[in-house]
Amino acid sequence: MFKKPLRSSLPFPLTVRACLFLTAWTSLALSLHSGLMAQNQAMRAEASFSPPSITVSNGTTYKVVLFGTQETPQGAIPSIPGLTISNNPQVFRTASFRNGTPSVKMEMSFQVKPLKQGTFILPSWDLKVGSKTLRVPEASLQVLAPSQQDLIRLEREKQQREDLKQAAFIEFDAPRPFLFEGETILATISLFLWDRLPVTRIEQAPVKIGDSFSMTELRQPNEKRNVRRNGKSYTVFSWPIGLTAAMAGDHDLTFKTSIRIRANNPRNSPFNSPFFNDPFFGFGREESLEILGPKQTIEVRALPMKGRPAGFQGAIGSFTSLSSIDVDRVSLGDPVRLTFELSGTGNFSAIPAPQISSDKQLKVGPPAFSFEGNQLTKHEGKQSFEYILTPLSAGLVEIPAIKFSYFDPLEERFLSTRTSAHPLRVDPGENWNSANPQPVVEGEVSNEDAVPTVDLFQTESDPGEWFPALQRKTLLENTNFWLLQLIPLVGFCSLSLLGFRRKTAGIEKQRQKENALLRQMKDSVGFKDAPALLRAFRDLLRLRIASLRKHPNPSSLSSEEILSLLRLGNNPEEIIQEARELLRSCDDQEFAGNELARQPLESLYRTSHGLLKKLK
Amino acid sequence: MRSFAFGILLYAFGANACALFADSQNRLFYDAVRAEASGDLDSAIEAYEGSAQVAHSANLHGNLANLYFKKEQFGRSILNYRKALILDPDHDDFSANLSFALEIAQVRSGDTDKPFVSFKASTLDLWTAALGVCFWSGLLLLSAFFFFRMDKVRTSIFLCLWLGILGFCSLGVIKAKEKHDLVGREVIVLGRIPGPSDANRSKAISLRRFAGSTSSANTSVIPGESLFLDLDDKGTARAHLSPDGRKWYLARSSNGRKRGWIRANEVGRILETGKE
Repeated sequence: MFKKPLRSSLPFPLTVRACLFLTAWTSLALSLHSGLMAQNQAMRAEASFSPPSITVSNGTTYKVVLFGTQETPQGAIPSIPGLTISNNPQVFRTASFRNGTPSVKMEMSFQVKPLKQGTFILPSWDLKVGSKTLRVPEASLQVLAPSQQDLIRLEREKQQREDLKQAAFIEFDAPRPFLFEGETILATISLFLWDRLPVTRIEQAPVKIGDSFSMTELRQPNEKRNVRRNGKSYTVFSWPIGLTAAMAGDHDLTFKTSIRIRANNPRNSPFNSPFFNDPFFGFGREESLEILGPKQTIEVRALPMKGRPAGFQGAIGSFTSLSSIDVDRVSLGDPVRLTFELSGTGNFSAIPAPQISSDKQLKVGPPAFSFEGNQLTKHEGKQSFEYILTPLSAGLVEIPAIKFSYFDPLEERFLSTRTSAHPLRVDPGENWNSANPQPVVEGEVSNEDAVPTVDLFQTESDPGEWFPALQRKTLLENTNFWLLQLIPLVGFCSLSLLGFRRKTAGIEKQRQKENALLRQMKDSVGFKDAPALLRAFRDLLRLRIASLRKHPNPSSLSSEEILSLLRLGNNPEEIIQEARELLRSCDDQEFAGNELARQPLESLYRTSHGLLKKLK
Repeated sequence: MRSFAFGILLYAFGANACALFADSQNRLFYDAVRAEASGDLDSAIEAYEGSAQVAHSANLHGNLANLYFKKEQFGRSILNYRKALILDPDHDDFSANLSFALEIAQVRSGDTDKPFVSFKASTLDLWTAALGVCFWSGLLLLSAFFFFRMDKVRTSIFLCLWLGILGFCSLGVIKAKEKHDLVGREVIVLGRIPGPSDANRSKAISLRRFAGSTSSANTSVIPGESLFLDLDDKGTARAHLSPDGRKWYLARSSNGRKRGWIRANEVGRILETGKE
């Protein structure tokens, strides 16, 4: 259903448009004039199917005609089950004079495709034009049963599809209709190509569709010609694969591929000219054809839990095992090669090396893998696991037997094989140390606690950690180390800055306080307020002396404490005496009343100010 | 978009190359172990040396040293033990084996072989880290003292203590760096590959007055002995190319008593510094 504003689109080709260009100007002028004139015309809507009766395989057009307006309408066509109505209509706007009266109309055509047979009634619906709402009347469509012609066409299409299926198809051959979970089977994917099909190349090797299975890589296919099937001659390309079931249950599996074929050119359009889109000028136009194989449901059975051996590691198939060592007598520390071979058919690519753990007598290195057989499918052949064992103590050492458990899908039960143990004689290993015999001093008793050379020079069967170079970068050469130094540097700078700011802020605060007190002293003289003058003087004296002597709490200083601090600063006696007098005056004023009010305040201010300047 | 795809391709190629690179060293190592197990010591040495061209591991050089010891090439054995100990300095077996090999080769271990315990070359990172931690923690504490207006006496005591620790750590860094640089210059005398005509020939290698085979010998060194290459103004080993195409190094012993020119193929550098 359309919900966006409807837009007109001219269905004419470019050449016709050019021819109509001049007349369009005339029409435009006329329509503008008539449009203005036609504003008075009443708006109405009509709707119908054209043609109103069709067969199932044909389409029709749903036409909505709006009279009296050319504005773009908005609305939604109701949906009808069984009918598919396009929401991209073709729009025509016309303007004309009828009997001298201007008339405008707009026609919208929607493509309709029936899905079934019957009579369909499209109910009336609302269409918004500008601020007005128009009611579109209902319309009915009769869809008839398919005609004989339709049936013939359908039959022909079906036959073409069948022919195409027979011309190229995929077959998948598996030895059994079921698999066990984790089992690998050898299967074949065959691509049949009819000899008369003009195939130029196989574009893509078959691709598996079905996540429940994994498949080995596909290489070059085997080609077989003149294979008869369905009364036709085919060329068959087959790919052998190893197919492994990933999870239990019934799972679908199919394959698809694509081929390139030479195709005839459709000649009904001048734009499909081979000169435009075919580098071989019509003689070799190619098209891609996708071939989808039939869907197969394969049963994947879970492995039984009953009778499952403890050492079972997921091997499924039929195997025989054998183990051997390359030498049965070695010196202590010399490595011994143990080879465990597994032959038969099965999921070789999923079989891990049997676990042989180190003990006090033997150190076991990681195994080396090798496979002899079809490397692609790894389904049938011989898998070898080679271990390097290092004897750790001298004497007769037994290399343990290796037990290998697997599930046989044919017998549908678990089986185990066991190799034989190998005795190994380990000599203390003096043979090569004797190359440089130590001089034995006569009468010297051999020291049993000397460095046990038999324990030295043991071959390590594991390389350990690898380093690209012997000389590693030192911290001094490491950029990250130097970058890391930025963190404490930032911390240090921040702390120093904060400390400095705190200190300067304290000094500034004190300076402001002193200025305020000095101002207060001056104002007190002006207001003839002796108590305020003496109070300000004492506070200022406290501040100055506390600042000079680094006293933490200036407001707590008594007169005596101030005088003692003055003495500490080696101030002259007359200054101290002067300060004592002034402080006494302050105390008298504070505790004994207004006795000093008779003294001239100007001289008192000068005396106190002079004293403050002389302080040290 | 193209550059992005190219980047992805380059990365994938690089990752594959790295994986192959990693595989080749492991493959060669295990090939060598197998060859050694089958008694083919020459092939084992060849495979180990091939692996050492790609990458280094302590066990690789340890195994190689063992094999050279078995082949009685004590110079190469000692060289590889030293390499193994550089990668794993705390491996007791390598240390014991090296001592034993030095003893068998009748080499007196010099000062470099038994460096002062606290200032070994391998402790350079430790000293550097300790210096960094001490420096910054002290500086931060000092700034905190300043911030909280700690009294001067305590601050002074702390400052002295801090400067003392800093001095000790700096000494550690300087000494360890000296040792580290010394290892970079150190070479081990390899000796000649014994040939049929060398049966009665001395194993001693001459340190010559001038860079030439005809020059008389100043003194001689034995395989396994440590020497230190003299450096030129550019900091590279002082070398001379003789008219017959042989490269000579000017080297001296750790105590400086032995000094002279030695052929480049008669010594093996412990660290391949790339400065030649």
